[in-house]
Amino acid sequence: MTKLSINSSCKLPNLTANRGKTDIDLIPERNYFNSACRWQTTWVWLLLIIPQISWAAGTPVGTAITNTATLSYSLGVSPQPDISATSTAIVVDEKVNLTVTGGVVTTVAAGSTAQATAFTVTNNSNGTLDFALSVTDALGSDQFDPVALSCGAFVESGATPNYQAAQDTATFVDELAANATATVYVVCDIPVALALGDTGLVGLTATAQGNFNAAGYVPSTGVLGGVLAEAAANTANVDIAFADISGTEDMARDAKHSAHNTYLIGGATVSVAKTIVSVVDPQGGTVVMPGSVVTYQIAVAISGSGTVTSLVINDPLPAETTFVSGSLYLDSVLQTDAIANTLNVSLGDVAAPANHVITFRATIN
Amino acid sequence: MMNSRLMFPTALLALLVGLPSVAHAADAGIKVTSIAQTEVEVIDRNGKKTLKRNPVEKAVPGSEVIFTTTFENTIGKAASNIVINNPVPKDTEYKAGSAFGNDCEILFSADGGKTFGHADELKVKNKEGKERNALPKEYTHIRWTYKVPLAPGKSSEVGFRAMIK
Repeated sequence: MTKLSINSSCKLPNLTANRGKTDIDLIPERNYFNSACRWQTTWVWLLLIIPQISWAAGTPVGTAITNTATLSYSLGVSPQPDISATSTAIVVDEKVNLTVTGGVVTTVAAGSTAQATAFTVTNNSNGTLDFALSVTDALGSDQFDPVALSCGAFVESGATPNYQAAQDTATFVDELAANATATVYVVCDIPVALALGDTGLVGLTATAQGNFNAAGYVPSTGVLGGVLAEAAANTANVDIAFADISGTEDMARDAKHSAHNTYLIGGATVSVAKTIVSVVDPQGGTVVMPGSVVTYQIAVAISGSGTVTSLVINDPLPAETTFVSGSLYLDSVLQTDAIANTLNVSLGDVAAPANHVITFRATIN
Repeated sequence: MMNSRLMFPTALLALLVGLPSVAHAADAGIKVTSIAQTEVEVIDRNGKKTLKRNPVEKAVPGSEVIFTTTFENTIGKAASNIVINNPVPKDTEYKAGSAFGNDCEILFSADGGKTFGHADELKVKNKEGKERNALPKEYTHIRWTYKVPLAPGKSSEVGFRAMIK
């Protein structure tokens, strides 16, 4: 059974922010969110991840290492004071290493857009660095390539799990600490007219970059650091050595690493868009206030290929509203009331493509 | 035989060695110097390989460093009971079998310098409190104990290799 629960990022709009306003636009198609909520059915599992040898980050760059030996001795029978000597400091240089991990299979529907597949980028260097990102969409050994020029790479912001177009907007990994890992989504459009089971490979390459001066690493928050080059030994600036191994689209010791994920054509995609159709206040106007009756619409679109079995739309209403009895309709057919202020609309087995509309009213408390 | 006239220079020496540690100790004692080097293989035009040591001031994690301490007896008398204590530097690991020195017994510690012993005598405790032999990379200190005195004007050296973590 596919129970579709609208998650917290897809809440009905915050009505308290609109209280007292009189100029709410009542055009039915107008969304009161900045972006419509979309929920997609994806099955993600990890294929055979081949373990890679990634050296530990190592002593932080700029650390000074000294050796101190203490000699004690006697002259005849009289012990003498100890004498110590310390070697000239060795300053630890930057050792650049990184790992891009892929091997993820993301199931998508043919013709679907903005399909996100997740990679991780780990900084195995002994200091903080930035990582530039690039996508390779034309790879062989598969049945299709993502739509040309449709792919982008975006870094998970950490605000909400999974890819959120409005939140995950950074196009390079900024100031990633030694040993830390960032999640990067490659987002592509999928071509139409593909068969179930077809696969399309997509690659992500990360390049370590950063600015250095004689004192060490120079942070550049929000700005991608400069391209790195290996330095000859014992130069005045921090020396940089590349220690990375080769990836799918790069070579060893080039400050890059890369990996592939797989898009797999299969199943249907469900997307849900919630809007406010109208607001009627106790005076007959359109003010959002206690007593106002709000009419909501949930548009459910099933695209791709195949059938979604036992699809149920389950949606708790906002806390400050109360469901109006007898107001729940699915495609203009009256449904049983929401229980305990939670919608539970059963659509049964839905074959793609299909569109359904749910409407209901709720009173603002 | 020690008499009171030697107490004064000894007291002066005590004041001098109270200063912060410097690369070269005061002249009126054993001269001790400590250096750090790396070793590279050099191949000449005939294909002959030799090992060359260079001072090292910058190195990446994973590099091997040779730490050498040289001591010279600049006093007019033989120096006896010479013992050199050397903590393994922070952020490095001792390289097994690399400690060197002539006419001395070399012992190690794996418990922060509390006890010293030969390699097979050193123990550490694992998380469950069970004892096992310490690995060379877990050694915390090295100690050289000289069995013979160092004659005036003579010098000697001790040292070891370590890998930068």
